[in-house]
Amino acid sequence: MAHNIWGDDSRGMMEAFEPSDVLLMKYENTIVNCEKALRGNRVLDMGCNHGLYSYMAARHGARHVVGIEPRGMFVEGLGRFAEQNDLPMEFHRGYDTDMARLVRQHHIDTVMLMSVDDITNWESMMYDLRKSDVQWVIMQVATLPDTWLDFGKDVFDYAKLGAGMPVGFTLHYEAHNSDTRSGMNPMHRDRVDPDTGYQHIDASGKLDMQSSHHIRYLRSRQYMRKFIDHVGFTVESSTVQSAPIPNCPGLSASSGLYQWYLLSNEK
Amino acid sequence: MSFTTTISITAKVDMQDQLEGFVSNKILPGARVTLGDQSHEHTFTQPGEEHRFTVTTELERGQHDVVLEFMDRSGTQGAIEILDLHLDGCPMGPRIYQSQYRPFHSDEILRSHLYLGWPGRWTTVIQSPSHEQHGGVGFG
Repeated sequence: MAHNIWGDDSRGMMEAFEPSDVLLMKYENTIVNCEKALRGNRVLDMGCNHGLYSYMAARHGARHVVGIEPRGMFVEGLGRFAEQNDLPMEFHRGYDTDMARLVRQHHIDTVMLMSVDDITNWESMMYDLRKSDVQWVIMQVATLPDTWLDFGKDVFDYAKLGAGMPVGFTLHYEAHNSDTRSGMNPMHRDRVDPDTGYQHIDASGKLDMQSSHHIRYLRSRQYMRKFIDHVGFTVESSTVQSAPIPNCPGLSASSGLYQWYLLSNEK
Repeated sequence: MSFTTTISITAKVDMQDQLEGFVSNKILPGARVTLGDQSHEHTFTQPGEEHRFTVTTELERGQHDVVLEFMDRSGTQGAIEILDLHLDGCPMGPRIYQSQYRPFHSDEILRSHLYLGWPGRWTTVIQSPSHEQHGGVGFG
């Protein structure tokens, strides 16, 4: 799988590869604990990245998996991997804004949204999914503990004027395109390197740090809970990362922010 | 314990051939990329040539320098532009700017320079094992 994506250069790395605590945590919470939403179903993995969880979904009994990813190097490599191994998987280039169409086109039963909440219009995706015929939504999100920010007097004074009581908060971070996930930023899709997803391409095709800014969204746990309830999903299960995992490259895991939802879309 | 690590640097030679008189005294440069105890040398053979330097070596856990340096210290050489950096096959993208360049003729350290207009030494730092230390590398 790695060889198909990253080529010969990845051989040494993968020979010594052992699953990290972060990877095992994600696997347990998105695949093992959600098997009833995968087995026998047609699964759409939105933002499938390196495809490991698409593959795991297939190994855990999914009838067919459609992986969507903006980065060509993943889509092409994973397509080759699926074909060579005769796996019930297909991969296509696409964005979050393609989701509603893809759900209809591929008759999807289960949608996996793994760590796409901070770089997409998550609320819009949730509305689209609720209206669709999808039965299950498996979500891995990064949520901020409600204790991280207390509302001040000004917020409540504003609410008393008729704005309604606050139900949580969303923090917006300005970040650089330090990892390829930023290729999801809709503002710069036309300038993304189609192979790697980096938004570092200027008009002459060279690296351009100035256009690589993007905004990440981190929502509070209360906000996400309220929004899921507002949209009308039934929460089958919800798990919060039990403890931060130190010395790992991911901010969410090292800060203990991961949360997993299994939602059913009952009509 | 050591970890097999592969680094690839894609670089292009720039002889600035539109400036005919300026070019006439310059020679095509050669460069050496080093990681740990292994290196890869290449002398460019034509203006505009791109070359991918690939080095595989065993690294102990921790930080390590990736070095690209001109093989000749003479000032009359074409420039080398670093285009891309891959760690174990995974493109590093803008992280390539977390680097420093020191021309041989100067004590000045230039940060985030990818266009090496003078012969010199360019370095960046990677951490081993890569998939545990760099987001987006491998299945981390």
